[in-house]
Amino acid sequence: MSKKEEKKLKKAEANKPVAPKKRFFNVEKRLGYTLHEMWTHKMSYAMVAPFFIIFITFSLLPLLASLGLSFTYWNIFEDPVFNGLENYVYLFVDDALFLKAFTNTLTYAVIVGPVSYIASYFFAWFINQVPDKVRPIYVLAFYAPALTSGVAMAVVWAVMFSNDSTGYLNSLLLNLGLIYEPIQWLQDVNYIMPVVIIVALWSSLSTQFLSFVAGFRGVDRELYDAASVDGVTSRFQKLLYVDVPQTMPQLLFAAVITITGSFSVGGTIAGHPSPEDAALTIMLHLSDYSGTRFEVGYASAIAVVLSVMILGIGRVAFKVLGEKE
Amino acid sequence: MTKKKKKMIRLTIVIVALVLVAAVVFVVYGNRDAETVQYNYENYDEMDFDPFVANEERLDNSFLEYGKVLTKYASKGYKYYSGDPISVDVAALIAKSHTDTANKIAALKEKYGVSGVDEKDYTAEGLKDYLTDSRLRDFLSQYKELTESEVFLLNEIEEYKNGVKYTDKSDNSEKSLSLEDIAGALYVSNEGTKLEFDITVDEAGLYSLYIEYLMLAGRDTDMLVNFTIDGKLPFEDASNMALKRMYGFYDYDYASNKDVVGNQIRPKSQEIYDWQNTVMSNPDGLYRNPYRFYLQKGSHKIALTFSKESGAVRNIKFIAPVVNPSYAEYKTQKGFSDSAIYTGTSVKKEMEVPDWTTSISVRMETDNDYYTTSNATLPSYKATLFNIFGGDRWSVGGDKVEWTFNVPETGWYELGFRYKSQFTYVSSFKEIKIDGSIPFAEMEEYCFPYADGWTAVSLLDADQNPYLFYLEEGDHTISLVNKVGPLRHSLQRIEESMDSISTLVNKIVKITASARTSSGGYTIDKNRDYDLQLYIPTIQEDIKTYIDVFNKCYEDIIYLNGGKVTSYASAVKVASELFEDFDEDLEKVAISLNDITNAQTGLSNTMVSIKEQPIAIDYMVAAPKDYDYPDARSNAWQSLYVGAVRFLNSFDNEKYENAGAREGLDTEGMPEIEVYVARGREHVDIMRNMVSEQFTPEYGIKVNINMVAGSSEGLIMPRYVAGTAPDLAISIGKGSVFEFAIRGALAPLNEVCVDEYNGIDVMTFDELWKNTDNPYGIQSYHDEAFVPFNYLGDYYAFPETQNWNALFYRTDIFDTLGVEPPETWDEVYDILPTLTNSGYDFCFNYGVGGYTPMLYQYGGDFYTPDAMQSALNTELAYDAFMEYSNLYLQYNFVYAANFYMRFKSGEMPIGIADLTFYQQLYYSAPELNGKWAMTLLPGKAHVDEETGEEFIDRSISGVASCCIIIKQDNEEKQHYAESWTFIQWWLSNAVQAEYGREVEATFGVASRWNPANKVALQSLPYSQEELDVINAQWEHLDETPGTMGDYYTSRYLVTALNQTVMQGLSGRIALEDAVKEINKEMRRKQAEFGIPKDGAIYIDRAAAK
Repeated sequence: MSKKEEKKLKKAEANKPVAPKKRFFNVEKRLGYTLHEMWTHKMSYAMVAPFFIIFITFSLLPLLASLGLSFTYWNIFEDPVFNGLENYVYLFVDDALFLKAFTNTLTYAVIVGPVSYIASYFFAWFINQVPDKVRPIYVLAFYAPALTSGVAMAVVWAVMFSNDSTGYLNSLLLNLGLIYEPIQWLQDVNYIMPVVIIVALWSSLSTQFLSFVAGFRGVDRELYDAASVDGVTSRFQKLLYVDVPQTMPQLLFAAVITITGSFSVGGTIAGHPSPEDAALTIMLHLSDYSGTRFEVGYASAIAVVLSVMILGIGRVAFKVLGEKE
Repeated sequence: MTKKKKKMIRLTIVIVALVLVAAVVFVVYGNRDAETVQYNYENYDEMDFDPFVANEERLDNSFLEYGKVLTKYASKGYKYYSGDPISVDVAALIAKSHTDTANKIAALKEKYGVSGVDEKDYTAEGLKDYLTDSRLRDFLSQYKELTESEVFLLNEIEEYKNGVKYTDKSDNSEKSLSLEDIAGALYVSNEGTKLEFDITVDEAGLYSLYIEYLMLAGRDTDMLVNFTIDGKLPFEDASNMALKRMYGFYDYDYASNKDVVGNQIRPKSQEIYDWQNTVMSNPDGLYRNPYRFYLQKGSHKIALTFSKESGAVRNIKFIAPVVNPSYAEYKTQKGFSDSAIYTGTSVKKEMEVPDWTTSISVRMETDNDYYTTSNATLPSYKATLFNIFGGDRWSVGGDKVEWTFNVPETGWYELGFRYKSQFTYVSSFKEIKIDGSIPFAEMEEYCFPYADGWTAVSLLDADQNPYLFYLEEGDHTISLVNKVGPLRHSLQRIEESMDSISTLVNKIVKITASARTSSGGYTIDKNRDYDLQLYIPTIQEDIKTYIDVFNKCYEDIIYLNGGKVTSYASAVKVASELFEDFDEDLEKVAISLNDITNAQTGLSNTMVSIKEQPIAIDYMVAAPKDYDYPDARSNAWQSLYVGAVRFLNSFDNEKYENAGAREGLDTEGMPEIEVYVARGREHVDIMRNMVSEQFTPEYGIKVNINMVAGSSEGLIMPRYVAGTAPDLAISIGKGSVFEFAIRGALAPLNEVCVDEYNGIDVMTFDELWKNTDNPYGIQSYHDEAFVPFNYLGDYYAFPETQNWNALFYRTDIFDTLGVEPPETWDEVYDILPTLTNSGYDFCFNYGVGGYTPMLYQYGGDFYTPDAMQSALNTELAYDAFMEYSNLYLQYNFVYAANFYMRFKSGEMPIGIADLTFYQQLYYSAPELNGKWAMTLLPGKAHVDEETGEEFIDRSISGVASCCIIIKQDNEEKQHYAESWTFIQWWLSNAVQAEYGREVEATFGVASRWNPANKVALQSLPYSQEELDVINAQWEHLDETPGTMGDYYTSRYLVTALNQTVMQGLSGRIALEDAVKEINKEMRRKQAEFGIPKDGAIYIDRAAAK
């Protein structure tokens, strides 16, 4: 026992017998008790304060403001005017483009979400197999696309999918004799969404991938030996019976990240507005209303619907992957 | 010690060692000396004949370049003329022209029987009682021809009958050239003046042409001269000689010309109007010596045609060509002796302020090298000082600069410069004249060898010994002229090869029947043999010639840059390797057409680079022999120190907010307005400077110019909501004005404008718009330009910049094809077969921007007259839509082509483009000068229903950006009167013209100002023909009114176009679908702003009156 701790203990003992002081909060009442407890643990609160202040100012308040604004008409320049459920009525009844955006987003999310989720997991697992010394290189190589900014990404892929015969892909296909005319990758309605999805997949090994890599590192080595003793022979079995259960927290975290990411996809390589709105997503639809049309009230309504969707699917992820109590 | 610790120590040692090595490398590299080594090179003007052209085609000199003509002269043994000059009596010629014209007109009047009519009435109207239609036309055209061919003395012109007056801006004094100064000079108008005369040559030989000239105020471009002997050009280049202007500097004293940060304000330049003399030479400095013309014995008819700019010419002489002595001869001539070598201290001359330059864009520049010195007593890195001359933009061949310097005693001096090469490994050639003449032949094209960074060195001969110059005590002038140097031969060879390659490609395409892809590449069937040798027998031989030519050029380029591989040499290497590849396997040529195109692009860039000879000069030294120069190149620590000082200085934020505004302006107690400007820093600096010099002192309003990046609209919005919006913003895109206005964020300009401020008259909204008080008598702004800014009858913005479009075409190709540029779309369709047959395309890029002019030309509109609904469902809109779609569906126009590249290569000799394209052509393709022209857009022919006259509608939109005043709800913050005063000042004719000139002088043609102000446009350096086109095209300006939900129009129009053109759906259905969506959105937005269904958004005020 260190001296410090001894001191502390002494102090605590010294304080014990003294009759309860008159307290600022009425501890008998529930609220008072809470406040009192908070005061006693003030240091802990001070520790979390920076995060909470930022979280509340930049995440929670805007969310609530957005919820409130979704019941108003607001064009930024003039004061908001309450208009009840009008925005929602228009959104669900009249806005044909929202449906298109919804379908596009869903298509995107259904493909990019799971594929990138599974790919991240497997790549992390593969990387876990390589020797320690070279592992960081692999991690960096896989993670780099997620680090590149949107602009750099767009430039690289724009060359790849360039609409004329000098685009890499067109050039390759022309050389192989598979096509005779360059394909208008980013103009032809049929190709836009696939192109967008492919580019998204390329850069999708991001945060969840890193968390998986970390998760695999955290798996106790002894468990593998134990599993061998229990008759596990193939690497795949090890993955299934040891790694997956051991990385459950990371799986949940990654699921939440992936869902949020894939549903709130905004700027893509196709740009906005895309031909015939073939690459319109809910986020783009939203920014279209707030930026171009200055209808922030309506944009807020879209945002609320999008948040509810993400929350709902997030709940499902928690149900499936969350810790069973 | 544990193993781990040992490991750590080992690692630390390794790291420390590496750092030390890096530091040593850094210091050693940073402290290395810039070595300048002079080298030997051959230098002559005679050029080889084009190896690709048969002999017969070389017979006529008129189509041969000067260099080849010289070779012909040499082969025939022509000698230089050496007698007295043959002078031309200009005054007598003019007097004769007067009597001749008078006689001819009298005869003409006699012939047509109109002697009784006053000459003022010689118009179609005034003569219609006397002559029948056809005779009237004949008479008028002959009369016009006669009056136009008459030449005048300068003092016979109304404007100059009391001499030439001008303002010297350095002290605002009126100066003039008296009648005596201008006596006997021929007046040259900017529309062209032709002087014809006969001369008698007693002795056959080679002559030079000497001319004295005076430039009059104009558009800052050169006067062009065309010279023919007996009706023929002596050589091709004689059609394009130039007389250059003179520009001097003022306000260059640092102490009285600094801004609030302490940076020097860019010294101003102004034109010097005075007589100059020149011996006609290549305007681009391509040749070492002035032009020599061969004149046979006997009488010759000479014609000199001056055009493009106005001025005066006198004292035209055919002189004996000047032959400069060699250095050895020069020394003997001047009586060189060792004892006469100067031994005193060196004389340093700061070179940043020249006496004059021939180009407005060659100017003083700033440099913050540790050792750069200037006349200001401040180190170069403490503030931005204009302390060097030249730099990147002193690169064009033929640009001349002159300085005056002083030597304390008579003797032989070394002359040295501290200079810096601007491009890596590129040496620079200059002609050096002292006191107006070249001292010895080595100075005709002296090479400033490439130096890595700054270097200070004497003018050296090839053995690294300094040249000595004989200078008498007192003032001398030294002038440097940019020259292309011996690389002229490479330039010539590359150009010829490129022509030949283009011909070859055309031949191959005819055999392989290659089609073009939508972006202009060649598609080709790679799986067959083409037997090119069979169809093009010379192909192998040509390819071998290309290889030889390119290899030779590559070697020359490297040799003439002192053995260093310049970056532009690589394109030549690439081309030579490509053709070496072809030489081995001819079949490869057919399938590599795209590679050839790329190689050609590279080569043409190389040609541009070869012509550029930039250096920056800090100072000149007239020094004793073997002078030891002070350090010229800062070392690594000094550079680091300079960087640190400048970095730390940049933290003084408060001062930097107004950087560029003149220091010492008392703005105490003045009302202040804040202006948002979304332009680059140098643009804003020019503006700040003009404001602090002119606006603030005159009106007593302090202007805080806030430079914002990108689109200022996005920044104004949040500041407006927060109630701290700037008072006004300029350079706002026209699209956002309407969106801001309908939400009540802008002040209506026609309401808030004032007619006087602080007792000073200011222009009201209407006065600024419709003012015709200018020499051209035109309205300052085009009525149509205000259409997008109208909302419910009020105007919320004032147009600031305005784009123009024109039809650009290659005159050389059109001449060869024998077709005229089209006036209407129908004529476009007529010439298309001719173009396509020869493998040419028409460029009109695909998109809504292309449909817009078509729609307007049909007489249609995007919206109904009240701007409440889309008008795209009208029959007119549909017809225009189908015609536009058919350009791509039927006529196979290219969707998106790089027009500039393909115009240059000649594949797309015609197309519609705008100012940007024009700038590119001028700036990066000088080799095309004279080979292209621009004219009005092709339009749609209509018949006027009332008069029955045919007219062509060539409408297109143009307004680019505008100025707005932002509404302030808080009355205390309202500065509407001040803001308007600023706008009417900024957009006034004179200020826009001056700003345009400053921008041109700073950036050159690459960033030409495009004012919406029509009067200011007239003073920009366009040629008169170009201006005529722009003015005429602007008459057809047609703008789209702002509407609610207008963003939907372009979106759905693109969809409709794509469906029709790319997917082949029915155009009518596509357009109808689009209109449905557009109308829905418009109605929704109208409802949002409470506009009733039968209301009107756009109220045309002119119509309402």
